[in-house]
Amino acid sequence: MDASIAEQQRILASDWGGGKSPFGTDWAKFMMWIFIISDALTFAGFLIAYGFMRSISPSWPIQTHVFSMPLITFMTFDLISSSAVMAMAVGAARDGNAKAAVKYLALTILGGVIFIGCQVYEWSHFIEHGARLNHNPWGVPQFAASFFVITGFHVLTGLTILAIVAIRAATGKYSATSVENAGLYWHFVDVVWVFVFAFFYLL
Amino acid sequence: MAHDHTHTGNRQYFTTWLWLLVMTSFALAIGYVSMPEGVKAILLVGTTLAKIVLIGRIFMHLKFEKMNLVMLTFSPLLLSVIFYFMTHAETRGSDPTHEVLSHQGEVIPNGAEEHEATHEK
Repeated sequence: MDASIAEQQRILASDWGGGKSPFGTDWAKFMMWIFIISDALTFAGFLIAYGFMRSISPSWPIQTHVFSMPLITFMTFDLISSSAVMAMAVGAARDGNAKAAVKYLALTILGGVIFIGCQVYEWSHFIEHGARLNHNPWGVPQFAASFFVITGFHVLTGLTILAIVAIRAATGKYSATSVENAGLYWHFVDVVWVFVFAFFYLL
Repeated sequence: MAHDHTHTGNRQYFTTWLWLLVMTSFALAIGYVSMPEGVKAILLVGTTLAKIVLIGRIFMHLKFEKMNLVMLTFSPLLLSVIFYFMTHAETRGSDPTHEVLSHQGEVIPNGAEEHEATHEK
């Protein structure tokens, strides 16, 4: 009997025995990682579908001629910078420095708002020139469709999450974990943009 | 738990930010310099993956996480590779009669005179 209890305890204590997290994180952070990974899987599907459509299409517009590359480069700089500031917000929250955490969160949100502003300009400019979800003047329907589907929504979602966490932090109702989880999503937005920048705008 | 680890300092975030800017500039240069599409694709994929590793390791603190979690984050990349090889046979790239023309072979599509051209793939 004692041997079986000892055996049970030994199994529970092992990484995959059910007694502790094999991933070494609390549940909230782990759920955020699961969400990010599932979102990344979706995005992997999007980008491969984009690449496939592009490779079977007899022609494809030159992106650098359609989009304003200085603007796209500025947007990339802005998002990378806001990601770095977000990392500082997480560090401050972990140190228990709520004032610094709120300050860095506000700067991150500012970066996100600037990015969204540029994105709105880019979308409206694109629509103004006749781009629609299922047709566009360049004669390759998938070109505009993939642009509309791939860009914009992640940053908007990230900004919403950040705004909620910042408001809670400003009123003292936050934990370092909630700032860290919001940060994880914001960095993921940065990761998505890095892929979009390379494969959608440059390749 | 990751919380028990010493977190990365602001100085390292700044250094990472600088590296990301350098790599972004490099990617931008690759986008503009004239070179074979295959070489361009390899260089861009390499630069992008390097940026992802930096963001993941430093900004997302994956360097402090257990290897189980780190390996989990590779699953989307693995899926992408599987999708790529699954669809590759259907693409024009595997068609020996298909010619990839340079950007010099641009044509302006009907109704889009104000825009620059498309290029034949």
